[in-house]
Amino acid sequence: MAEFAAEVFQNEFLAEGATDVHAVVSVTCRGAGQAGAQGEVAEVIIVDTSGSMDMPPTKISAARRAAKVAIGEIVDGAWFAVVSGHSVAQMVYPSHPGLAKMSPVTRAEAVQMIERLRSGGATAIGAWVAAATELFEQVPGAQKHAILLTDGKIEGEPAGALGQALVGAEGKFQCDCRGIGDDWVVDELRTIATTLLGSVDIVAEPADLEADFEEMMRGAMSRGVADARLRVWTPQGSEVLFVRQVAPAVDELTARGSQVSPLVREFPTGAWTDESRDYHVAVRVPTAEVGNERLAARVEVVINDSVLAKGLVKALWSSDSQLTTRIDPAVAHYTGQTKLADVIQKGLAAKASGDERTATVLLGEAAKLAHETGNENTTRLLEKVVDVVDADAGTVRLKQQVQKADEMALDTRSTKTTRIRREPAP
Amino acid sequence: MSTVACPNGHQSTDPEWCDTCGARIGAPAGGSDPAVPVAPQAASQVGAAPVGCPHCGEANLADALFCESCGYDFTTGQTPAGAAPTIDPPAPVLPTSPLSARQPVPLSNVEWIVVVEVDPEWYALKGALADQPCPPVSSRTVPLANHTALIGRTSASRGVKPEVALDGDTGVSRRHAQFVRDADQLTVVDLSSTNGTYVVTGATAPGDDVQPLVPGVPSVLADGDRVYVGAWTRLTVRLA
Repeated sequence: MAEFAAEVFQNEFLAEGATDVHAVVSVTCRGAGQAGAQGEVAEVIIVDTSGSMDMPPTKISAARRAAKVAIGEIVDGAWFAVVSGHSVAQMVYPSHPGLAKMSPVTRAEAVQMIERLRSGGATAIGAWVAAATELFEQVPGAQKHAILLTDGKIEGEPAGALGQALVGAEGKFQCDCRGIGDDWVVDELRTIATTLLGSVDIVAEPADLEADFEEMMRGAMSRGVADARLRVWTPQGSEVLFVRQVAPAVDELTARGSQVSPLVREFPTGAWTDESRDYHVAVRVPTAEVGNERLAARVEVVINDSVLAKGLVKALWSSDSQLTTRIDPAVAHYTGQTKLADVIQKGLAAKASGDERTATVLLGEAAKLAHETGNENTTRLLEKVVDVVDADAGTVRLKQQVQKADEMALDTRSTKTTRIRREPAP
Repeated sequence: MSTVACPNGHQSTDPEWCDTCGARIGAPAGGSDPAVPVAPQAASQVGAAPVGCPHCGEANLADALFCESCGYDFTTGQTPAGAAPTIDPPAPVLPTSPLSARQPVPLSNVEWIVVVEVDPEWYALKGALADQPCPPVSSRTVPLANHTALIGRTSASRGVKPEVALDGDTGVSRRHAQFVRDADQLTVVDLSSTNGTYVVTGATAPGDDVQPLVPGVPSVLADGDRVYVGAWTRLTVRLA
């Protein structure tokens, strides 16, 4: 059985009259084991086979290879299906609309059918998501995960189709999304990935797809904890300002919480492998007199209603301004990283709309924040879009010639954060 | 569960931090007055008879200021923000269900029904018979109107139209088994099915040791007995 540990980083001292408590809760999982060890596992691979996958044809052949590699990673005994996505979602394997049990025989059959994937048709991602939801309904108790690959933006279905499909899919399965090439829309895939607790990334070069799929499916198979939830208790009269995952990537959870009882809310976090994730919790509590100590939040990791780890966020009112003005380094770091993701996305949006002035200011701020918080990956991605004149001051110039894929990479990976402290030894 | 009193008068199951307001228990109320800390045990022992919360119905100590469960304020009668009242409406008076009428029924007029259900536990034992996942749990009722009722899968080409049709369960033979209703009893008989018919009586769950019926030999069923067939099907017979 997996073990969880929770560690709280905060400055619990509040000035007289202050109400807002910020804390970073670091949750670590150990001994997760392999997917399927505790119950059933189901995997659906959705491959875009729209007409554009043939332009160039390396894309569809890379998708075929990648799907085959992913099939190879799925453990025996798991339920699986391969779906070809074009104007509709079409079963590739098994042939009937359902799931097959993975075995050496079905694996070989599936590989054969993937070999026959041809492209043609539109890109109706909403229909694909809805089809995956339907397939997963056959195994309600299983740990469910999908991989969605596309190369284009949604066309050939009404504008609200994806939103509607996501309403039906939320909470039913997790979905990792990959965009191949540079004709897809970052926002569409990011919406799917955040709603369905998955990752999103760009694979600019078709040749890199195989390794990416292998890693993604291996990751899914290593998640031995099917579904953990973050349970947050806050005192009477308080308000949860936000609950946000801040590492390994920024993911806003606040709106996804469900009220368990008047003082307790639960947030889904999906499946876990042996890993560590950080959450930034902000609570507004009723103020108290100096000297008072209160519990501002109790953050628990819950699986099937049993509590596996607990972190206490406290509030202690003090008149010592030396204590109360200090900001916890972890809270400061992740506040900066969250802002970094925000200014990058807004900056790129401004650039896309032709507002170069706003874009320059925002991306300049991004360069400054990335430099300050030591986020080298983001700095490197930024430098492909802007020329950094002075990182300390946040002065940049927009590059005149920018590869579209570089901009998309910066956009999709803007939410990835760095950690403030070193990872505990494995 | 024993509770302790916090400095602000709430009852808390957590002995260290108040369940309601988060105050450190054992700290003086208000924080400015270093008065004698409230002795937690003493408070819970002198607690008067519980009173029901008018908001959520949870039993609280008589001197509680707030409801332990929903945070209802007993002093002001203020309900917690954002919470809808959760008092259970009085249970509707159900018309006497035919299922609950288990009293002796005139023998000449015994009616039986079969509850057809998907049983994940049976699937755990026999799921390998069907190469597909267990369908979602479902339930339907089939009355046994005739003298006999066939259990099987519909086949137009072979002219098989079972009364108890289990078309989705591929572990069921087309002509699998049959219920036979006499004046005073109900029996089930296996019709040499491929995967067998299993009868489990009483409240026990089927285990690995469950044995199939001998084909052709009727087995008498009582109210509530279960017949298991195929990869996930459970048939519960009931007196109607």
